[in-house]
Amino acid sequence: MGKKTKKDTFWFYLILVVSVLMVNPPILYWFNEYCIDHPLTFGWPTMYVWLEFWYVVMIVDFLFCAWKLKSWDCSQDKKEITPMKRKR
Amino acid sequence: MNLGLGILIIYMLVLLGIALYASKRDEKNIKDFATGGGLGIFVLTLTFSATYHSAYAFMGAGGFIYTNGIGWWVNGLWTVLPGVLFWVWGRRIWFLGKKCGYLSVSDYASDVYQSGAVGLLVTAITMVFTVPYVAMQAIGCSYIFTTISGGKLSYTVGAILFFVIMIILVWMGGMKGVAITDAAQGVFMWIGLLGGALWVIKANFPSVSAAYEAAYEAAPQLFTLPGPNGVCTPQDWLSRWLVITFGMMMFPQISLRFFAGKSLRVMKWSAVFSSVYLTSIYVFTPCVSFIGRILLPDLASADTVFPELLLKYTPLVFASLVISGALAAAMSTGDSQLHAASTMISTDVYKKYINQNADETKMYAVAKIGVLVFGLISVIFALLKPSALSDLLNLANSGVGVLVPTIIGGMYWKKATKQAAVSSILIGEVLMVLLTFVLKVSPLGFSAGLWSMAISLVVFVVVSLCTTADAYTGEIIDAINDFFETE
Repeated sequence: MGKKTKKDTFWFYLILVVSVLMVNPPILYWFNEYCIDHPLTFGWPTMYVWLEFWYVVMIVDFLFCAWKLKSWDCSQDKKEITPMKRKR
Repeated sequence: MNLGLGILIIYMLVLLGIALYASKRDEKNIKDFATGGGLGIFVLTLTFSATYHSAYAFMGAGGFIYTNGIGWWVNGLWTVLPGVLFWVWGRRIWFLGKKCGYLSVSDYASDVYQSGAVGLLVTAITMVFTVPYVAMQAIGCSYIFTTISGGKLSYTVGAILFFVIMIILVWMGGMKGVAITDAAQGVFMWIGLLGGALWVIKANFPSVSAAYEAAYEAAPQLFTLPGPNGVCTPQDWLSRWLVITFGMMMFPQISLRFFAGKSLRVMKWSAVFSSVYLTSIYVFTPCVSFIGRILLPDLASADTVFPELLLKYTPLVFASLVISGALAAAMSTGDSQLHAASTMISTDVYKKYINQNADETKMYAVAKIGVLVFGLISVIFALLKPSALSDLLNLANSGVGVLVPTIIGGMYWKKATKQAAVSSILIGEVLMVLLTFVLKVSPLGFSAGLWSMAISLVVFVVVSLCTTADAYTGEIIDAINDFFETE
């Protein structure tokens, strides 16, 4: 894989990993302490709002990269796939 | 006749009509039966999503929240990440399907490792652990029939009805039929789950916020971790999402969809939209399940909280339509599972070990018999009423989770060997069975599924490093890398 391709997916994976860390122990259980004192935010459970926020970050990250990344532009659809002889 | 039951019957007749339409477009051969002949973005997104969301979405999720609170929303990880995995892993399998003509993941595993034993193990394990998963759909359907008929239809009759409808759906349309009915059911269940939950909330409270405030007054422990029963511990949290997210990708009904995209572009956008669909469907689920604790405090089975609320607080016609959405969730997964299992019986067992000269028509016929046999086994399992839906989901995923190193290793790591694949699968499964059924322990609080998945990964790496890989595995990986290299 070329350097440019690796670089453009780097940001996708970085944002994804950070978001996953935010919704997992130990960070999540530190945040849980805050939720005990502030159970509701905007009328919704604070824990739910926190989790939902990071899930939306992941989805937007995925959506944006699917739209913009050069390495995900599906140019391979133009390539012909030559069948390979199977050994089994 | 009970009006609600009447609506459910009309709904099922419409589904059968759609399957009939699809069957007329089916080519009646095993390749079309297995892959659907190339699906577009709309159908692939919805068949993947509707298959992924099972009876658990309407019933198990509500039941878990009702009992254990907001810790349920670990679920969000296994609704966002499947789309990402569908794209990152799925496109590689999609390519191999085109390049090498694979029709299933076990077909791929036996070829990439040059070992019939690996393929057979993958087939056997995915089929064994698909049984509790199909049973889970039958249980969900039985609850629905019993609830909506006011107890006139028994649990057993509900399970048998599920079995009959599933058989007809898969027999009539193959993958194309299953995918098109899934698409219709996917739309229906999304509207049903969101609309139904909102209606119940608005029927009892002026707003969603007011409902949450009332629920907090009644049961504040629902709003934080580890929940009222202390279930959602850090270990439980990690175990649930890791095992279910990765395990789900190994189920044949999911992995078969990796082969089904018409193009890479279809795969990509279906993956993105699946993440959106799978996550957005649950927006009001926590709220409606929380208020279930106030409105229906003494439920016999927590899994029925949502249908019970619908029947009590919304007009019967509306409730029945939404409950049809619940049926859609169960059936769209059930038919895909039966279809996938029967495809494996035909391509990975019959063609490879019983009749190597079988033509496509013969294999198509065997797949249909496979649907019948596999469906029957699953319904018998369901009639034993094994467990709560969320426990069944966990068990099934734990069983197939040990396949992750083998399946993924063969696409990325040239040092992966057949000895490593066989030993990691066997040791992982033995450990899972030992911890779950014999010792019944969760060491350090982590689930048996997570332990077995982790140990199988370690075994896979160590044995691969100690044995010699087949050059053919490297050729397959090179072919994948060459294809996806853009510069």
